[in-house]
Order: sequence, then C-alpha cells, then structure tokens
Amino acid sequence: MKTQVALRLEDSIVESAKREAERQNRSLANLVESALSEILIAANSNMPVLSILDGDDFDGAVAVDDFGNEDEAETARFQHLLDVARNERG
Amino acid sequence: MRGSFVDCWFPFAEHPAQPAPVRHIVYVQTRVRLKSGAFRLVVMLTTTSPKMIEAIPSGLSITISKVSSLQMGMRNAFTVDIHRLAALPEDESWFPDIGTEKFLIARADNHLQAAITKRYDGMLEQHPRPMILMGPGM
Repeated sequence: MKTQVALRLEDSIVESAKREAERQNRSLANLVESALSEILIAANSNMPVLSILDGDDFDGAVAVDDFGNEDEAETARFQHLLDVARNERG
Repeated sequence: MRGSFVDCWFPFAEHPAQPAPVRHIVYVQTRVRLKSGAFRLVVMLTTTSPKMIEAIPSGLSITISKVSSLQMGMRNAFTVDIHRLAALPEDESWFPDIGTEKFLIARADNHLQAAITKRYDGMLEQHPRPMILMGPGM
C-alpha cells in the first residue's frame, strides 16, 4: 500500500535528486522512497544487527539445504550468531 | 533457495518484527528449521546507496559490479551488507513474490556464495560480542 505525499523541497535538492535518479535509471519517486527507507533501516552503530520476530524460538533450530538436509556448518554459524547476542545481553 | 537474491519487506531496525513498507532485494544466506517445524530464511540486506555502503563496517560487505550484476540478470551494481541480517518467515508478508515465478531475482554462483560466507565467518570472528539482536524479550 502506498501513501501519496507532497513535499516542498529546495529547487537545488530537487534538481540534484532528478539528476541522480536519471543517472541510476530510476524514477524520482523511487529514489526518494529508497533514500528514506535506507535512512530508517540503517542501524545507528557499526555493530552487526540481526532482526527476529515475536515468538520465534530458535533453541534447537537447524539450518537446512535446499533438499531439507541439515547443514551443520550453517547451523553452527546461526547458533553462534544467536549465542553471542544472548551472552552480550547477559 | 540458498544463495538467491529475492525481494523482501526487510524490517526497519526499530521495528524488527514488522515488514517495512519498501521492498529491498536481500540475499538468502540460509534456511533455518525451527523445532516447531516452521522455517525462517536468514537474509542479508543489499543496497545501492553510497551512503549506506559507506556506513558498513570494513570487511563486512561485498560489492557486485554492474557486469556481474547483469550476468545474474540484475540491472545495477550493488553491495551485500553482511552485517544487517534478519530471520524471517518464508511467506508473502515478508517476501511479496514468494510462490511466484518472480520470486527468484537472481542466484549467486558458488564463488560468490563462498565469498559471502567467508565474510560472514569473518564477521563472527570480528564481532563476537557486540552483536545486536533486535526483537522481543531480548
């Protein structure tokens, strides 16, 4: 779902944005939308960030390949990712 | 599935449990099966934004040139951000094109998959403690 927004911006900013959008072969609206989303997505630190969902229980979770077979190396990586986070939070 | 580039409503950092309103292409690092039997896709954000690329810690990104991108069926050079991950349900609330022929945008070859995994391993070595986990009860 999209919401239409009207913005009043300095002419110089609009012109720069148009040029950049043209350079990237994108519409001005898409460029502005992406710029906003990227500002919001970017974490405020240089630390790695892992987002998870409400209610997810990763205890005993295993990584699987495209055939459903367990991938031990990937499982280890993922559990490492979770473990260090839990340890950090004490 | 693994090693694929797909569209995703990748969550904003401040709302990790809510799909963001803007699509982003993500790289699927792995697929995780929970004890409940449900699956999660562990994905890494990709970006074309120079400012965002600049903000990625050293050694935690891989840039795909325009030539390589075109070979994979994509349009522009882009960067995989190894340090921005999410574990998301594999359904249309997070992956708008899942289950359709548009889902798979491109696939990394074995060389690129190995390179990304090597950086992923490097991240775990570089940042064993300062990992931030965004989510409930954490």
